[in-house]
Amino acid sequence: MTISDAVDSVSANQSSALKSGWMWVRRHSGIAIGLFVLASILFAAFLAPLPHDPFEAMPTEVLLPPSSEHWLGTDRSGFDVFSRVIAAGRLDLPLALAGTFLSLVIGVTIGLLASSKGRGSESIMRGLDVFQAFPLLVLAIVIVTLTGNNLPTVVLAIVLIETPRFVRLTRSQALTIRESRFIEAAYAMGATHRRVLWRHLLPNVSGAILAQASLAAANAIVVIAALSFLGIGTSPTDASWGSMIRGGSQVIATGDWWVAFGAGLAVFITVLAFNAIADGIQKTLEEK
Amino acid sequence: MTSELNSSSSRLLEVRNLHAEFRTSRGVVHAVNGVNFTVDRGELVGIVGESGCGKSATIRAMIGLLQPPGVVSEGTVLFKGKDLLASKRERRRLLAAQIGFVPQNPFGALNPVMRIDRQFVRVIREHTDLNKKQAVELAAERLERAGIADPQRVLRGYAHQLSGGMAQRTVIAISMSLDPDLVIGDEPTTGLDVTVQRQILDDTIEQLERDQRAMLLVTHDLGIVAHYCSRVIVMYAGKVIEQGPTDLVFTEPAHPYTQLLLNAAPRRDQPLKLSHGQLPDLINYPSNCPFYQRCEFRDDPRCETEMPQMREIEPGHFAATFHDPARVASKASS
Amino acid sequence: MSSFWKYTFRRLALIPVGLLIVITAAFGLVSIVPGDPALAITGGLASEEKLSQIRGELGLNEPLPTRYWNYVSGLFQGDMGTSFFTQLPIRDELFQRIPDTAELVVMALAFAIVFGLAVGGIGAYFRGKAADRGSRYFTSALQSIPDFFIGILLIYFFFYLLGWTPAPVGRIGLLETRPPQVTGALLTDSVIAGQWDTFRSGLRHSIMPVLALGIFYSAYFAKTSRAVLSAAFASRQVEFARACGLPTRTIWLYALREARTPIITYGAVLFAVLLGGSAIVEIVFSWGGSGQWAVERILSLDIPAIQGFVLVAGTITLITYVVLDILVAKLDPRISYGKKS
Repeated sequence: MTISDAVDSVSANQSSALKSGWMWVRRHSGIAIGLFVLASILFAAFLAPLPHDPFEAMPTEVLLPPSSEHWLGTDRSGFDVFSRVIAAGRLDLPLALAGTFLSLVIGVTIGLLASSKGRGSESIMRGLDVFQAFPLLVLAIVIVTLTGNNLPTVVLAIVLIETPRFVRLTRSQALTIRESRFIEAAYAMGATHRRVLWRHLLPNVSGAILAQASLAAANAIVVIAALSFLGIGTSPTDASWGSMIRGGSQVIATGDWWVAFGAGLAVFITVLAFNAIADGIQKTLEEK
Repeated sequence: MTSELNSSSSRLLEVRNLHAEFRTSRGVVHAVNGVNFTVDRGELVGIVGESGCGKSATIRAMIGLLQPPGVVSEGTVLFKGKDLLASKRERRRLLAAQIGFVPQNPFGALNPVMRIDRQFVRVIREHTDLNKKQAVELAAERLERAGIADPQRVLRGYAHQLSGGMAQRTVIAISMSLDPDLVIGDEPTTGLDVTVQRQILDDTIEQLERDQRAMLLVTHDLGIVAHYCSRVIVMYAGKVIEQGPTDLVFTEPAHPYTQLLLNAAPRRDQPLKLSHGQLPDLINYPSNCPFYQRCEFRDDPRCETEMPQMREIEPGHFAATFHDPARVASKASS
Repeated sequence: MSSFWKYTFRRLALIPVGLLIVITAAFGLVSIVPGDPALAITGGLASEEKLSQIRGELGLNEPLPTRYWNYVSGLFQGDMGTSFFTQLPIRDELFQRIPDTAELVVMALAFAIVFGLAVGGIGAYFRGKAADRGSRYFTSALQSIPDFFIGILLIYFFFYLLGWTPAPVGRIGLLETRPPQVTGALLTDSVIAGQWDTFRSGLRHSIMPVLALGIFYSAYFAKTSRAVLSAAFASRQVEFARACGLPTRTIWLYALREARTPIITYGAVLFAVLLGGSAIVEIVFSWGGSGQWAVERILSLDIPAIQGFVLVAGTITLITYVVLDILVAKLDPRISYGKKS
């Protein structure tokens, strides 16, 4: 039973689409809120008018505490913290989403392929085990640094870090479902492997995959922040949450908290949103 | 409910108006809806019904084993006059010592990573003052009493080393180790080989009868109830819809559902799975007879509008139905 | 019991194979990467002549298989190569710093497990009630704050505002000296040397970094332990234990016992994750451990250092997982040592 079936059974008597939409939001409040927050961040990052130019430094207004003029104060170079935090959403969030999306596609594909019984799939899993034996954050740093230290390499690092979980999940789900009766029936009716994969396996696995994707995205945000904290992957002129936290860490011991706080809060809210979505999906799946 | 002729000292268990529900996000599932029954000293009572009728939930609600999202919403359960639902501490004291519980799956009940003697002794020493050595001796003796030939070997081993029958005998030994006055069995032999089932039941019930203990046996197997139980309680949709002496209920079932059960009774032991037709919605519980949708009679206008109450069909035999076989018969012949 | 030893042996036999893979990966990782180390070292300012000289010195002109063979044979002699930058042997540099990282990881892990179990366990026991929801929100919140940010917040609150902890300048104060080197780990060495002042200072300086790492990873542990303990509390074993009138304390013990395999597994995984994940916190607090060193070297494109770190980290993780497998097999009498490999 998919999420939409659950909705239908509850709101069978309610006619208008709007009302059933609202029912869906209420029942899956975690998912709805999470999506709303993410959409708002993207919207604000790309479209909203900002009080100050996030890329224009004001050398006379350095390290000012929050005020009505600068809602989150200014940093060491004279940038308005608030505007820069919002603008950083143009970088961090799309990067995370891109990386997660690619990992999902690649991971699910490999996972489905690896779910056929046979030596090939066993060795894929062994390879995965070995791969995950390495400390992944360090691996990410190595990869980004050594492959050119720019944004696409950050995406590459994300892909390498997040793909294993999709491979594992897809494979284990596929193996379980493979054993079930209706797959047997499908084969009995003459379906080919590919058809079985597409028509039967994928729809049933998609819920768990989406939950993992949300978790992967949450992790990706943190990894990206960690990388830009270290000055890797992003250039110094880019606005990114991690590098802002870095700037903030240099002045926090003397009490200038606002520089790091805005970016940290942004990361927190974004990751929380992704986690809420993942939790919401998992809760829905549990009630089947 | 049952005739007041029984003196209160022989009344072991009295369940009054028990309600239990499961709070899920789809809504509140009313699993147990106003269950009433009694068990007297030395009685062997069976509870029957198809899967999902609420018999397991009732049992668990009774002894406080209901876990979230399940919750007991109303009712009292008097064991020897004390309300089990009122005090957790009291209940804990009584369990195993005076109320034994035998669950369905022995490999579920026994802890797989603990040696049998350790688990067994833990229970014994919780409720008695015996030291370890004495407890182990008692455990061995109880295992023997339950029909296990080599108790020492079983005690020193683990659950997964036992066969299904031996594991269940072990569980029975543990549950009955302190000679409880009431033993509650939740499908205790389902899943076991049929011959083993009969053996275990014979042995266990023989012992119960010898010691004048009462038993409340939850099962879907009407054959077992017919063979061993003096009284039977029939449940449907969380309600008791018929109860009385087994021979009376089984020969002249008053409730249409009981008739359906008896007609569909499978030969071998298979889980009772009647064609579901339309089970009532446990979330939006009907205000009329819960069996209305599947009933072939519906011979009373109140069937559609009112909830039937328990009434005495004949002495000791009760059913909650408006159905009147005489009325149906006369209609048929007119 | 002999099947257990056979299983153990098979697991242990994996180590050499795994090691080979780790070594190859460490070697290969860096070699397949574009970019010229000589260029990176000189910062792009040297002449072509100088560059090729450096390349020759670094042995970069050799064909790949030769370099691989040199590397592996060097390893067997205990030589992990020399840093491009400091010209010091990697082995010395790395092993000097590992003990400090080990102390950080162990302390953080202990905190994460204890705190995580408590939070997760309470959520599992009071499932469905307020405590469960509270535990869930708390966990979600904690998991959403990156560990280095927690560290920064801690610096602000505990150091700047409250003055409860010393400045984040390292393992001990700037003017203090380390105890004589026995194990290389500060706290252990100061205990061995009996330098209690140093020990206390080290502990005080450890509070924030340990909390930063511990709090973040405890959330992960809380989540998994709540799931596992929830299942354990709802299991038939616990139900039967309750039905036998066993007290709450025993119910908890039974549930923990039942859940111990996954809990130990997650603990080991957390350990492996912390090995790499502690790097950033080390940087924030100037811990001076191997993680911080590794990051600095990666940024400087110091190839041998990178290889050395990846090699050591991979090896430690490999051994951890093998030990874990053996431990789990010992604890759980149900596992058949037959096909499982």
